[in-house]
Amino acid sequence: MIHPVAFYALAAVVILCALLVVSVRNIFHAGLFLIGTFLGVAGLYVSLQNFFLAAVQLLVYSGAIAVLILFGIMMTQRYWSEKQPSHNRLGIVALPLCGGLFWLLIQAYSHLPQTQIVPVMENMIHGMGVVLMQVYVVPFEIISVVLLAAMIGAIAIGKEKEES
Amino acid sequence: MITVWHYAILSALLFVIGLYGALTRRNAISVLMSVELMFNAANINFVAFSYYFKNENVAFLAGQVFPLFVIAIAASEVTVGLALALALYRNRSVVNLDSADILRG
Repeated sequence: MIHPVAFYALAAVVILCALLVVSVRNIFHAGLFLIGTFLGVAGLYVSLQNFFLAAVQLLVYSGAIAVLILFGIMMTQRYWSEKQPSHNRLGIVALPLCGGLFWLLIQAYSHLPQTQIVPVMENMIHGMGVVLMQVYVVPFEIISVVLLAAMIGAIAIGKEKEES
Repeated sequence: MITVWHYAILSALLFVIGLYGALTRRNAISVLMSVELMFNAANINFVAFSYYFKNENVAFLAGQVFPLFVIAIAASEVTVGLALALALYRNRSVVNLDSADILRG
């Protein structure tokens, strides 16, 4: 059970930070607001009773990925171009497109059954581990190969070309 | 009373915001950040909708476990995306996506 006030506060944090991420001019500030979004989503996982996923969200998203993105921003913003626009001219197309998609999703969700979020099982982390290692063991192993491939690919792309 | 519907609407809004950012931002790293927002929206949906299967243990836990895979894919995607952004920066000295026209004939 989650108190409605807590849910709406978390939702406000997530949506507000997300709006600032896509609209603010300064890209470094956008990265900081992205961390705010990640923290809000971690709170939402706690409200959905999944504490392990909240911990993973905090560690991987607001720990590793946010640091990686901020590092990338600092590496690539040598000349701070205040005069250049931060958005392209697709806004007039993208805004009705996104609004239409949101309207469509609201229509699709309008017939959802009213199911409350209640604690389902005592030891969810234990169950998640069992499911991960029994039902989804093949995807679990493939993910490690994907991570290795991404690591090698990042090194190969990011390496300076040697003049031979 | 907070139901699954509330989470679904929240994640739809988050996804739409991320889509708007991915379409309109010029900076490559900003586009990556918008894509991260969309991943998060999908994750919230996975966890929220799994509460429709709270009487079947495996189906319920599948929804709770799946975001882990999404997070792993997102991590590798950000790694490769940032390497591409750095490579673009070395070639063009900017990371604006409209300057990535090397393949244009």
